[in-house]
Amino acid sequence: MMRACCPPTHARAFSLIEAIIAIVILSVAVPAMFWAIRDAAERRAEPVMLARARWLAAERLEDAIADRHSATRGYAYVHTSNYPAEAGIAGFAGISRQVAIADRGPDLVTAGAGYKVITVTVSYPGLRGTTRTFDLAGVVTDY
Amino acid sequence: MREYTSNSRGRRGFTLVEAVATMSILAVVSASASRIIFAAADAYAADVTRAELTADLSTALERITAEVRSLPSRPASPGTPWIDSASATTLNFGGASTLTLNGSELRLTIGGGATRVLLKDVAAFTLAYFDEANAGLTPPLSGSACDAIRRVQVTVARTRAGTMETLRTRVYLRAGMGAGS
Repeated sequence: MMRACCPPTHARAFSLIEAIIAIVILSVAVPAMFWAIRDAAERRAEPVMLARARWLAAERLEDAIADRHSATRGYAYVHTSNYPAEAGIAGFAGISRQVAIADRGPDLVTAGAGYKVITVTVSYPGLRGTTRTFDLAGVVTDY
Repeated sequence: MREYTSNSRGRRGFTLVEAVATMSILAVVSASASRIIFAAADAYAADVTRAELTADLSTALERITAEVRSLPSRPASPGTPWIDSASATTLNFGGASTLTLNGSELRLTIGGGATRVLLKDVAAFTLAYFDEANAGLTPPLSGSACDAIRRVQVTVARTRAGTMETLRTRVYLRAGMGAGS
């Protein structure tokens, strides 16, 4: 089969359509590549932020446990109002922390008395501007 | 005037001017592209370093908190954590145990045994002390002044290749349990 082509002395240049298609493909691919690079960087930061959050959550939980065993504070002191939310923690940019304390019965699920479930929630920046949270819970008892 | 180099099929090759122009454009484009790629590579290297630093810091902090949390009571005074002396970078407890920063090494000695290096390349190590009502106690403390310590805050920072990572936590000394009402 014969090829229908341009005369041998005339090398064909890019047509306008081809050039536009190339530009369109590039304009889709390049931003996607930058997104992928940024995404990968944020994903790598995740375990680091999680480690910070975990230790800062443990810090607050230990405080509540210490208060439970304090001679001047004790079980009654362990109440949400005594652990105000912290919008920021010095030295740890972007991290905030709050404590929720619930009175529970012996099954630790239904409301009751004698047990307090302390939940420390630490929020930290996640992927693409989202906020991620890490929860750490502990129990103190009235005996 | 145009000079064409023709092969046997009559097709024209690149002229020197075209080749030079192409290379110049490529040089400009690749220079800006390489800047982006190098920046991404640097960020990647820093992230990997940061992840390693964090993992090592976490491991050391696990050990520190486990030891401090379970340090013994004074034999003559149950309910009082046995701390011999406490400064911002050294904690002597249990008669013969020491947690200390020596140069850039964080060292732990338990019960007079061999000293273990918990962490190297330590940029900062700070111990802060609090009493049972969470009031700060100013170090250095020694002798009976240590008896009031119930909470110890540990801050460790480690640095490598220009990247620094810090972790902080607090420990309640379980030896002081039983006082609450």
